[in-house]
Amino acid sequence: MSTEVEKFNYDDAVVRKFAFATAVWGVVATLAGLWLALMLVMPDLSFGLPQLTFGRLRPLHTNAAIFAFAGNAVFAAVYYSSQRLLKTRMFNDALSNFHFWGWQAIIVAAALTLPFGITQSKEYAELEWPIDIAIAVVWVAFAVNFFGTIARRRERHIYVAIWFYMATIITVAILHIVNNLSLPVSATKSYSIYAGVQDAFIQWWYGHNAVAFFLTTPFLGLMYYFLPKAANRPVFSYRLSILHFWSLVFIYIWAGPHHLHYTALPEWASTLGMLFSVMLWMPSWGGMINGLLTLRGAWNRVAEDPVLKFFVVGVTFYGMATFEGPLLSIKSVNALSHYTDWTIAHVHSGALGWNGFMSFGMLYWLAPRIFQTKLWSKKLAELHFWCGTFGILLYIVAIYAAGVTQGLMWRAFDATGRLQYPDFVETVVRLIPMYWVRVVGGSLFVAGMVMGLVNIVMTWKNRPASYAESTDEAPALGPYTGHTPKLVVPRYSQMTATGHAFVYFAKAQWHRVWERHPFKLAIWTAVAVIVASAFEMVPTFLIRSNVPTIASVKPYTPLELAGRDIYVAEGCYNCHSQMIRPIRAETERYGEYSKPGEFVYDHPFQWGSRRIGPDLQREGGKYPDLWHVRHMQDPRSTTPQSIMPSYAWLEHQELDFGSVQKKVDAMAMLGVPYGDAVLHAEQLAHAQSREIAERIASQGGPKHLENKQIVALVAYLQRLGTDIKHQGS
Amino acid sequence: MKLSDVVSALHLPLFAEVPLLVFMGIFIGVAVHLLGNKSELAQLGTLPLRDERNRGRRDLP
Repeated sequence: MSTEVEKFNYDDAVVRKFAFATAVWGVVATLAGLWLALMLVMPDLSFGLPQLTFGRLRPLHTNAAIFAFAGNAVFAAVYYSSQRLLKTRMFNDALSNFHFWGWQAIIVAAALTLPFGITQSKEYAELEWPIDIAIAVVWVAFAVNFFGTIARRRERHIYVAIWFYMATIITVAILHIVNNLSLPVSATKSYSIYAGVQDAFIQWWYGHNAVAFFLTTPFLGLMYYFLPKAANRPVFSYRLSILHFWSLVFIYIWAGPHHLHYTALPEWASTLGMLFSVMLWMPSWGGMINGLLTLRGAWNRVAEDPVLKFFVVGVTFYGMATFEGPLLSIKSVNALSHYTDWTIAHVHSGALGWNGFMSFGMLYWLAPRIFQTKLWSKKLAELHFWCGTFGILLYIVAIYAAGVTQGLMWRAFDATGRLQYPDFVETVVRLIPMYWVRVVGGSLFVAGMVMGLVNIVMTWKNRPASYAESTDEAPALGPYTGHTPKLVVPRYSQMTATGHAFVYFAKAQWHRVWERHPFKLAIWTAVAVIVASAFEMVPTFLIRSNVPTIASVKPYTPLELAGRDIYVAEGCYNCHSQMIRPIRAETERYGEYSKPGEFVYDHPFQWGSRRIGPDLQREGGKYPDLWHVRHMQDPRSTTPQSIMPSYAWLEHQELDFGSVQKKVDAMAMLGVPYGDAVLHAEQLAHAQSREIAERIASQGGPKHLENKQIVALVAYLQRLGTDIKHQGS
Repeated sequence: MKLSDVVSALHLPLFAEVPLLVFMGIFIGVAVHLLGNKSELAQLGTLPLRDERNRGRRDLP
């Protein structure tokens, strides 16, 4: 074995870039969130501009928070800690730079496309196919760089933080590819290859695991490296951290279906999702306790060190959010919480409290080290901490109250057995004061983020004229000469080969081998994720009774399909669900509950996850066409207390009839039985639009709307949920 | 005959229980391993504190 000590230096330039990007995008993401919060109380803030509506901007906020702010924080953590834990420079500086600039370009592309209604409408996976391909390319570059660094390491043992990063890289790649499989119609439009129930299942398998493997596992890697560094104490229990890792990898991937309780998803999948979600309680809390106990003997420093303050609150929010997540997955709790602001409060306690505070704890710890000067203002960091903490608390308490109020009002019956609040808008109006408190809390949090950015920029401005190289030394890694347990069956043993295999497994020495062989560890992590996913996906896709077909359910007409694309582009799913649960309060309010077979032609599904406005599954035929035209023009003309923005431009913008044929062709390729419509979709669309336009005019509405987008949207809305009405259900 | 015909006809009442057993097996295996390597693992837990011998940094707080 080589004992010659080698000197090497670390690439901190890329860490500086990612750290800067974290602080900048953090401000952008939270400002967008604040703007959206204001829109809930001042719906005219969109100023009649399509690009500024809630439906189009909400995905921009979520994508900026998850992929721009948290993503850049994760990459800063990975690039800083991996080099030091593996005792080597990153594998390739060009790949590091490609990763940085490629990721920022993707974020900019998201900011340029989402406000223009270019979206797949899958939550946290809204970006269209060319950007998805770019994400895959950049991610592969990151993976090659990361695994190349591991291969060149000088430290034999792979520290647990690196395991968490590894699980992130592998699983995010799998999730991204599977969820974004779609058929392109043009450079800016595609249809998911999955439909209805299957699409919903895949989306929430992705959605939940994006939280797990983009917002949890890499941040745990961050915690297991930066918290011991900041506390100057080793992690409380390294054994617990390993147990934490495997438990999360094995359990998280199963939990996605809890996002679809009481929907048309098969019961068994929903129950399995709930069971595994509840099982997450233990490892999550084990990890939280491990984090907090790492500060044993250092608690006195928390009062004076803003870094430790951020970490303590961050880890505490991890505990709170991971207590609440399993709670919300329990079906009876979920029946109350689903579609309400409770979910939004939960998400923000995780994203602002856990991800936000861990990110800024790391940034404040990193800043003096990567900029090689003192932090510009410790007092400002302290002020950021208190603004952020009070901001989150105000925000989430108000939104918890709003969520529970909403849920209880939706299900309230009066003494005569009728809905106590039959008009949905009554439940909206009640929440307005809480939305204002949310604005105040959000403003405080944004103020803290701005302070953080100022502090980072000013620290950078005080940097030395040239950075000193961050160097280290370690012997090269020679071949392993220690004991390697192997499965051996002695020739004259009284025990069978199976018995020996059992003993080998039970002693778990294989795990010790994996710890030295990162690629075996990576492969087994991938196997755990793929097998768990397959266990849920295979029956969902292949057992026919899970999605019984309904004879009366037919494909959308070409015009309805074009209208559906407008519904998708406007992001209507951000405020309206299309899923009536089999709960009496819902069937009383909205009509017949949703059946899996109703969605077999829905590429992509539009079930939504939240009801700022009412469910639209049985909207078809509820109102005359003219009502929809007036409602889109000015929602407050039909519902005075509505908080929906105006969509007046739909009445003026031309419908692109030229693309209708392509869209129908794409749907036909995905297996939608369009029959004759495949040959003359455009003519059919024109014929139906003339019919609707005449009807609107005859009802006293504006004339000559036959070529306008509003007609297509009305066609779609009037079709919603009517197929099973025809069946007489 | 399609694959969906085969899977639909399989009647897999224990399907959901299999992953639970797989998980328990792995979990117990890892836990046993961790119980048996206490001192060595405690040593490995100090890795973040041993990762920079030369700092090349100035004026740390």
